[in-house]
Amino acid sequence: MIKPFADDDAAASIGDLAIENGTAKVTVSGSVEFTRDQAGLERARALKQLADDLVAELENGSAPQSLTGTQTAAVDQVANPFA
Amino acid sequence: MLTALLTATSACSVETAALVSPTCADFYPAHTTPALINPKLATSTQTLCFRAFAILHSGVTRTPLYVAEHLNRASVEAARALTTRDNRFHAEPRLVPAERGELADYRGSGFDRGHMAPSGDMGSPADDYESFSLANIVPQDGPLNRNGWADLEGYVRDLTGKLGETYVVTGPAFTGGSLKRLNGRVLVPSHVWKAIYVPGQGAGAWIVSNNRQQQWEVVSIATLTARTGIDPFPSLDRAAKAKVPAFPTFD
Repeated sequence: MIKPFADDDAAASIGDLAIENGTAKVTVSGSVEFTRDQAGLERARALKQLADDLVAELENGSAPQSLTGTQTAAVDQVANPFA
Repeated sequence: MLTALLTATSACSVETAALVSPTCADFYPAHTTPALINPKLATSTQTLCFRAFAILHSGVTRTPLYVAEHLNRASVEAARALTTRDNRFHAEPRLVPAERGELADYRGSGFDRGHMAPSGDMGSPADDYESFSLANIVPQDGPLNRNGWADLEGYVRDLTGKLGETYVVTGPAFTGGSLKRLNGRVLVPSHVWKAIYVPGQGAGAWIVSNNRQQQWEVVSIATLTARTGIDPFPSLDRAAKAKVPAFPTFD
């Protein structure tokens, strides 16, 4: 599982739930089924671990009131080289 | 026998296949490589064979131009059995740094790192790791990547499970007079597309705008080729390419 906010390259999945780490934000998208069997238990534990790690990291005092200016990379406009 | 062994080697091995002239032929119907109809796309391109997919990479866009997969019922079942995954996005070590996307290009850009060959198609940790190479990634609208596009990927897996075998080619399209660019390096596609061919059944494609509007279209292979400059399945005849499939959209 990812270590929340530790890096910008880690990714994980639980079923069809996609988890992407980032130093400014962690993204979770998709869906996951918890079947009533060992595989379901494994997924449930993974999700709980993720939620626990996220809360612990944010409670750690590192969370400001609100994050501003998360878009840091420059995005510009260029002529289409294939047109 | 020797030929069979060599074919198996080129399909399965990563580094050795890259050193020998790579064809990645097993991922294409009739072993026929997708064709670049727009010759401008061919500048600074390089073919990369991976364990579970083949890529034509562009040093101009610093993205793939297309990514080809050959899925079957067994590969889909193997992928579904991989219930939790851990991975890392990484720059592609086989590409020279000047021509490839780097993690820093995407960081804080507001765009998702969108897989072309989906992680969800990968049936082993080694295959899955390769799908996180930035050679398999384009800057994709976040809500599109996480919702409709993910649904399309699941639909193709379901269809493969039902029909037994599919050839899938996925890529970005760069249309219009101007394009967005990340960090002065990576071009943002105007659209993303996915073409599938089911042997004995037919072929077709989806194309969707890479923005919040998420305008989906279901098109024939001929229309896709005209729109993107890439023919994903050159071995198909004219009639098969002209047919518009009855596919759902995912908006």
